[in-house]
This record gives sequence, C-alpha cells and structure tokens, in this order.
Amino acid sequence: MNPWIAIGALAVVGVGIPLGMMAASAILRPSVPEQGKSAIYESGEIPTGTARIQFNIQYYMVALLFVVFDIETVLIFPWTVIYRSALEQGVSLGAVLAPMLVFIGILVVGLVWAWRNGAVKWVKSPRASRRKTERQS
Amino acid sequence: MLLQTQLPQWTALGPALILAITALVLFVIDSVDPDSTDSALLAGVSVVGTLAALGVAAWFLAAGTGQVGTGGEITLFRDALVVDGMSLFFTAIFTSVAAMVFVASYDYLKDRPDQAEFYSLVLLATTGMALLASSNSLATAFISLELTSLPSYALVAYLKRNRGSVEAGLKYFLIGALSSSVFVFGISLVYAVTGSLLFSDVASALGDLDQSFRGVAGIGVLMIAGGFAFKTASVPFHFWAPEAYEGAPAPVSAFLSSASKAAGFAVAFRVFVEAFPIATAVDLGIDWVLAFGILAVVTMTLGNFAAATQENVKRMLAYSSIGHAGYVLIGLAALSAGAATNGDVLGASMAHLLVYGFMNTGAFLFVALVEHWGVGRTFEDYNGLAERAPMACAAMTVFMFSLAGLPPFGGFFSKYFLFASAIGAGFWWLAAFGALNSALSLFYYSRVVKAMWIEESDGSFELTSRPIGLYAAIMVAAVGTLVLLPGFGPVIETAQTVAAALFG
Amino acid sequence: MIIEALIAYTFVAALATFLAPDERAGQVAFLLSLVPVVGSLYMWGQYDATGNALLGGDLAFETTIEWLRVAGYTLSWHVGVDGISMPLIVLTTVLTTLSIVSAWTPITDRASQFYGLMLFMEANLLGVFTALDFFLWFVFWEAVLVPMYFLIGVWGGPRRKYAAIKFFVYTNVASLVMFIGFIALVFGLGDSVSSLSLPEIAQALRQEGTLGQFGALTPEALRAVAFAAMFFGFGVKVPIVPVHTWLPDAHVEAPTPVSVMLAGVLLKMGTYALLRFNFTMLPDVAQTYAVPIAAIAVISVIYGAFLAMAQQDLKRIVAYSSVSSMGYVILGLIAYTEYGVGGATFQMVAHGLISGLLFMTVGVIYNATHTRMVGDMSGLADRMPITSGILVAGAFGYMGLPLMAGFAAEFFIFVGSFESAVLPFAPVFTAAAMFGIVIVAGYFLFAMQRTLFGPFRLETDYEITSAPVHDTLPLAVLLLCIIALGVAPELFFGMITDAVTPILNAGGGF
Repeated sequence: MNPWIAIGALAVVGVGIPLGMMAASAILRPSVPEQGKSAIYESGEIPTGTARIQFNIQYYMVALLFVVFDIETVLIFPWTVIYRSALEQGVSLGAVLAPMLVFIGILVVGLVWAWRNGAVKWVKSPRASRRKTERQS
Repeated sequence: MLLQTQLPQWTALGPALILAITALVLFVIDSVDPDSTDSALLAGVSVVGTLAALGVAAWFLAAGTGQVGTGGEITLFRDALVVDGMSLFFTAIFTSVAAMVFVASYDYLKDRPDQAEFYSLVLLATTGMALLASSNSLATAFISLELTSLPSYALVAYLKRNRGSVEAGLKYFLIGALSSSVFVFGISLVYAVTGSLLFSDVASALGDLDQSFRGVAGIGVLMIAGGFAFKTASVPFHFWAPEAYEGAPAPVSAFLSSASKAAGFAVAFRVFVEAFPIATAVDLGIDWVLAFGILAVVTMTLGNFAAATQENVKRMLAYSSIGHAGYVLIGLAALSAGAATNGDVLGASMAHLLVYGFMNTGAFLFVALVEHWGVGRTFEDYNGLAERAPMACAAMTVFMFSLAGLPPFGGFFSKYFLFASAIGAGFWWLAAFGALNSALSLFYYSRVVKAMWIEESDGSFELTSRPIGLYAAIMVAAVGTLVLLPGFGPVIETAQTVAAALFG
Repeated sequence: MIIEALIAYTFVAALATFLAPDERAGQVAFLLSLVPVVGSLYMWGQYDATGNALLGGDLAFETTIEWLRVAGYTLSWHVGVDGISMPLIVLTTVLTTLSIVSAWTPITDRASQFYGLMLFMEANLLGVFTALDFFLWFVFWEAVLVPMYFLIGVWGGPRRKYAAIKFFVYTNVASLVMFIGFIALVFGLGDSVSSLSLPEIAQALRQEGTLGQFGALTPEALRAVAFAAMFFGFGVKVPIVPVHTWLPDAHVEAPTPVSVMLAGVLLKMGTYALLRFNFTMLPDVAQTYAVPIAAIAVISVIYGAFLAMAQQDLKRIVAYSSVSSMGYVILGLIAYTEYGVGGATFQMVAHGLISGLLFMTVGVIYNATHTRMVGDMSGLADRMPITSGILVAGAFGYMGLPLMAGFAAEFFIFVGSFESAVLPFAPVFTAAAMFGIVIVAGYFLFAMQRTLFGPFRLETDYEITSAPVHDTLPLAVLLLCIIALGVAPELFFGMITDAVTPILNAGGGF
C-alpha cells in the first residue's frame, strides 16, 4: 500500500475533526447575540481603547537583551557540565576557561554598552504620554 | 615561513581578530561616554585598527603565510576556517576600503549623534568580511555572511531622520532577508545530499553522488549562487543596489559597493571552486560555469545600460557597480575543468576587485564630499564644479577614467588583464561582451567629467569648507588608483599565485 | 636612455605647465617644449640603426626593463627607434611646439590646463611611437585619448561636447576590438612567445606553424579574424571610409592647435599601427586580401576628396582631404614594395606637416575674420598677404607640387603601387587613386579663388590686418620643413627604406 494514503487519511481526519466540531456546535447551540460576547477578553477587566495600538519600542529592546542572556545560557550550560571532567582529564585551566571568559567578556561589553546607551532606561514615548494626558482631561 | 614556525596557528586569523577587538574597543569607549561626539577619537581608533589589520594581512601575504611555499593553507577550528593567500588578499581589500571610509567619515559624520555605533558597525561588517573570505564550511560562510549583512542594513538606514535612507535600509533588509533564506535553504539542500558542510567534504561527496540526487544538488547550488548574487549585487538579486546606494550615506555606499561586493566574490570563488569542483559539477549536469557566464553577460549589460540612462550621479555609480560585478563574474565564468588558465582568470578578477576597491570607493567618497557641500545630486548639479574644487575634481576624473578602463590608471590594467585572460582561456565571447560594455561605460563616466570640467557653472553653489578627512581619503584613493598602474606587477602576480593555489 | 629621459621630461613639463599661471602658461609651455625638439633632433643626428624594430636588425636607443609577469607572459618597459618611428618622433616634437605657439592667440581661457594637456599628449605620443612592448604601447595609445577629449571638449567650438564624446567612444570601441583581435593572436601563438614584446610576437607570427588552434578557429581563420579586428581598430583612427565620421566633427569643433595635432600626429598613429601590426605581422593575410584593402584605400581617396569638395567650411575641407590623403598611405602600404611602403611612411610625415600647415593657416585666418565659411570671404589676399601666400603654398603642397614634401610622398607611393607584385590590377588602383589628386587640385583652387582673390567684401566692424608674428612664424617654419623634405627627401627616406626592407623581404616570400 502506498504510504501516502496514510498521510492523506491523517490530513483528512486532521482537518475534518475541528470542522466537524464547529459544525456540530453551530447546529446545537442557541443563538443569543450580545455585545459582551464580541468584546476583547481581558481577564474580567473592562477593555479600554482598541486592540490596534503600537507597543512601546522599549519592549523590543528588552526582548533583544533577553536574547543575549538566552544565547549565553545555551553555551554556558554544556560548558559547566564538561568543565570538571575536562580538567580531570588533563586539559589546562587556561584552555578550558579562557574561551568562556572571552565569550562572556564580549557579551558584557555589549550589555554595558546597551545599558549606558539607555536600552533599559524606561522612557515613555511622547505619543503614550500624550494619550495619557488626553485621557485625564 | 615566519608565521608557521614562530607564531601559534590561531594568529593567522590576526586581521579578523584585530578588527573585532577594535569594534569592541569602540563599544567600550562609547560605554564610558555615550554622548561623546569626539569624531577624532572614534575615527582615529577605527583607522588605527583597520590599518593594523591591513598591515598584518600585507605582512602575512608578503611572508607567504598559508601559501604553497610555507606548507600550504592553515586550517583552524576543525577546518571551519582556512587562512590562505586568497583570504589574506581579500582581507587587504576590505581593510583598505574600510580605512578610507573611516577617514572620510570623520567629516561626513561630524556633529551627528551615534557616531561610535557607525564606526563599530562598519568594523563588525569588515570583521564579517574577513571571516567570509576565510570560511571553509558552508556554516561559517553563512554566519559570516550574516555578520556582514546585519550591520550593513543598519548602516544603510543610518540617517534615521532621512526618509530616503530609511526606505533604502528597509528595501535592502527585505531583499537581504529573502536572499539569506534562499542561501540557507540552498545550504540545507547541499547538506542533505552530501552530508557535510565542509567544502572539501562536499566536493568529495558530490564526486560519488547517486545520480538520482543530482536534481536536489543542482537546486542547492543554484540557490547558493543566488545568495552570492545578492551580496555581489549581480543579476538576479541586484534590485537593492541602486536603492540602497542612493539612499545610504555616501561613505556607506562606498563601503557596500566596494568591500561588501568583494566579500561576496571572495566566498563565491572559494565555494564554487572548492566545494563544487567544475569537473564533478559538470558530470552531475550542474554546469555552473555556463550559468555564471550568462549571469556575467546579463549583469554587465544590464548594469551598464541602466547606468547610461541615469540622471543622478550616485545612482549611476550604483548601476556601474552592478556592471563591474559583471566583469568580475568573468572570473568564475571563464573557468574550465583542469585548465591551466584557471588561476590566471580568477587572479585577474581578484586584481580587478582590488583596483575597483580604490577607484569605486574614491568615486563614492567624492559624492560624499559633494553631499557634504550641499551641491545637488544630478549631473547638472556638478556643472562647473572643477572651477571651485580642482583637486577633488581631478581625483574624481581619475576615478571615472579608471572605472572606464583608460590609462594611465589602475583600472586600465585590471580590466584589460581580465579580458585578456578570458580570451586566453578561450572565452573570447565574454571578453567581447565586456569590451562592448566597457565602451558604453565610457559614455556615462565621461558625463561626470564633462559636467565637472566642460560645462559652465550656473554659479548657484558656495563651497564653504574644505573637509580635511574627506579630501585625505579621496586623495589616498586617487593616488592608489594611479600607483596601481606602474605598481600592478605585485598585485597581479600575488593574485594569480593565490588563485592558482585554490585550484591546486 | 634618451627616450626614457624625453618621455619622463615631457610628463614633468606637462605637470609644471599645469601649475604655471594662466598668463605665462603659453610661453612656459613653448620653452619647455623646445627640449623635446632638441632631443629628438639630437636623436636624429645620432641615429645609426639600419634594422626594423619588429623584424630584427639593430635598433637605436633600445632599452628593456622587465615590468611584471602576468599569466606566464612578461611585460617590459621596452622602447627603441627604427627608421619608421624616427621621422614620426621628430614630427611629433616639432608639431607640438609649433601648435603651442599657434595657440597663443586663440587660447585665452584656462591656458595652463590647455598647454599642460598638450604636453601630456606629446609625452604619450612619443611613447606610442617608441614602445615595443604591446601593453606599454597600449597604455600610451589609450592615454592619448584622455587629453584629446579635454582639448576638444573644453576649448572647442559650439558642438564641442558632442564632438568630444563621439571621438572618445568611437576610438575607444576601435581600441577594444583591436585589443581582442591581437590578444587572441598572442594566445593562439601559445608557447612560441613568452612575452608581449612586439618583436617577439611579430617574428613568431612570421614563421610557419607557430600559430595553433584557438577555440573553433583554425590558425588561418585566426589570422584573418585578428587581421580584420586590428584593421578595423586602427582604421577608425586613420580614418578609413566608412568609419571616418568622427573626424570631421572632431576637426571642426577642435581649436586650431588641437586640429593640427589631430591631423598631424594622431591620424599617423593609426597608419603607424597598421604598418607595425597588420602589415608587418600578418603580411600573408594582407596580401590575400590585397584587393579589398586597396579598394578601401581608393574609396577613401576618392570619397574623401568628393566630400571635401562639397564643404563650405575651410576647416572641413582640410579635414576631409585628410581622409583622402590617408587613403594614399593605405594604398602605399598594401603595395608591399620598397617605394610603396617607404612612400607611405614618408607620406605620414609629409601629410603631418602639410595638414598642420593648412589647419594653422585656416586658424590664423579665422582669428582675423571670425569665419571659416568660403562663401563669407573674398579677397583676403589684399589684407593678409603673408598668410594668403602661405595658404596658397600649403594648398599647392597638398596637390603635390614638385619640390614640396607632398610631391615626393605621393610620387613614391604611386611608383610603388604601380609596380606592386602582390596587388592584382595595381595600375588600375594607382590610376584611380591618382584621379584623387585632380579632385584635390580642383577643390583647393576653387576655395582659394573664392577666399583669397577677387574684391574684398567681408563686412566686419573691426579692421582685418596681417596676423601677428607669432602666428605666422610657425607657418613659415612648417613651410620650410615641407620644402626641405621636398627638395631632399633622402633626409628621411634613407632610414625609412632601411627599416621597410625587412618587411618586404619576408613578406614577398611568405
């Protein structure tokens, strides 16, 4: 039997189940249109403003800095795992330590630079503060 | 000889390391004083760093590091990087261009915020280029390519309050992202059929490839070629070049059109010659030599014809840069399996890239100077400029005639040696197309010269200042272009030796 | 070392003139340009060689310094002089000096740049006529275009920009075509040559069996294709009909001193290169296609003459008559006889002097009358007797009056082509070309009669008087040279014959 048939069957089932469930519920449920149902879900809070707003660019700055630490972890973790056994097997301390120190050093330079240039200083965008004053008045 | 016995192996990467360290030093300087606009310090550190890298590269080249005479190429990090004559030759090109760009930026960026970022981004891109020329595996090639490209996107959009600059940056970024993905997909296909990323392993795996996989391999090779076409601004990924060069600050255009293009060629030469050897590829039906031949002809013709219709000098230079990419592609297009002329052809291309690095950088820096003065951008705006600034205009004349391939300038030799080596390899039709285009190019290059020297000025501009950095950089480029005619011997001999080593 | 010294000196002199103040630039350039004249005359005096630069025999003032190696070929600084180039060198230096003097009146704007470019061009022209290495020669050959472009473009007439770019692109295309043809030939020679030295290539090409298969081309086909490419490339420079159209534009728009250089020396670059490359290196092809080449020559003669006849502008008349005169040179070259090729070389010098004289005279007249139209002028002889006299003398020289250089040159050419063994129907071609002289005589006599004689009727609001001394002196010097060469052609013809003989020897027996 052609193995593609199994894949095709899976695809049919995969698409069919959600469609079937939506169809079934559409047939069974009562239709009571109400404004609250189409409102944005904000965990019980009353939604304010529209959903289409510009996020403050600062979020992206923080996200980018997070990537720095993320990558750092990915490389440091395996390094710490092999660190002791590498020393025990006679690799010199410098050969084990130096690359990681250089690596972290480069990241530190980058972080310090970003910090000093205001990447983590929480500045409100002029647009956001303008909107705030508008709302208060 | 010197290096291999006296210095540890990793020092062969010296030029790239120096560039990276200089970039970090700039970050440190900027961290200490983020609001500084001390151009002299920043430009000075960058120039010193690049010149040091250039000096080390030149010293290695002269000492024969990584060349046949001293025990052949030096491979590092389990063959992921390789240092040989070719990588050092290209590093010398990148660092010379970067040094000129830094000297010119001293004036161009004066009184702007965020200068340190500019210098460190250019340095990081240069580092990427140096690594690109040294990469010996598709993985390092891709990563270095990204290290070169990402700072370039930011640099194009450096004038962030200028709509043209930002638009150019966005266009460059979008096409760059597209071609990067094409490139990386090509790499994955090649990996899929060969099971390796190292060039030499790819080559041997292709050698005994099952014929049924050759379609996949062919598409992979084609996509990788597409990635290089983007970096070198060749057809079919050339659209970004005029937009990006026109919108970007002129020193960045100079850097991109000279160094970045050379970097693309550096890695393209190595990948295609080493990873996809001609004989193997042709056996598989992947005739990339013919493909590059067609690309070369289309690229040079399109670039030159488009350049001839421009009204804006910077845009004209952008298209001319596409045209020159076409000439350089002859280096990949006039190869044949096992031919003794391969090294000559490729070497002539490399020598042309070196000369091009000087003359094209100089031309864009002249545009930077004119922008600095606030004179307009079209040919008409240049009218009568020579009366006010004869020295700079004489230098621009040197660049234009050298780009057109007229003596007594360096571009004459590099272009004619390229054509001659193509004829010598039996590809006279490539040389014939090159010659036709070269004659056409004389028409639009001489328009600039005509505007500066022959047309009357309408007297509407005042040249208020004589920016010393821009002048110095332009003069260095002009002297380099001139000296490369009598001093072309070492260049072409080195280039052809190191290129021949690639085929060995 | 005298050649290097002269070329280097001239480059330095050009640089010095660029830096001179505009008011004094003319005199400075004149004084500086005297050194190459003296130098070339000294070379002429010391000249003792009897060989041909390409085919062997001894050369004068030869030096070879290795420059660089590329793709297995050595490029060198290789210069030397033989009986063909010696007269052209003297012609170059003398004409440059005289045209610098003739520029004193018309050139007032940006003078230091003008004279600097003239000297820069002279240096490159000296290089063209002495270089014996292909790339070195090609550097000088192409470098001549750059000053010429500016000289026409900046100081020319109303349509100067068009004329300059047309000249530039035309001649550049020609050079590229020639380059491809020649390089294909060199690579076709394979291992028989190890350098781009012209003598080595020429001697290899004249041996049987050195030329290999080049791509799809058999050796015979390669010879023919390369010959055609080079003939086209040099033919544009000469110029031959039908690729002559840049010439009238360039001439009409160029200022007088530049026209003098253009007609006097630059056109000779084309015929010199034809002789050195096509007719010396590939005599077999030339002789195979002798009839079409001779036909082109005769067509250039007749067509150029008829075009000249149709012109109203004095300068255009002289310009088109150059096309005609260059046709004689080609005819002499294809004859492959001592008198033919020797006469052609002699004609290069003679035409250089005579056309220089005519252009200068027209320039002097224009300086005074501000018109060049034959129809506007009448009875000038009355007001400008000396200039008119020289114009008459020059025109007669052009027509080939005995005891003037033009007569000797044309006489040699006709004798040579008449007795040619390689050219079928040689007498027919010769007779057809001689007919050109009749037309030349016709149009010059007509133009002179209209401009110089008859009642004076040019309406001007200024007085037309005799030209200043520094305008007429170069004319007199040139006229003297023309008469000297006409009376004693052996001044040059002896050395020319020595240099030409090797070409014929091997050529006939190929």
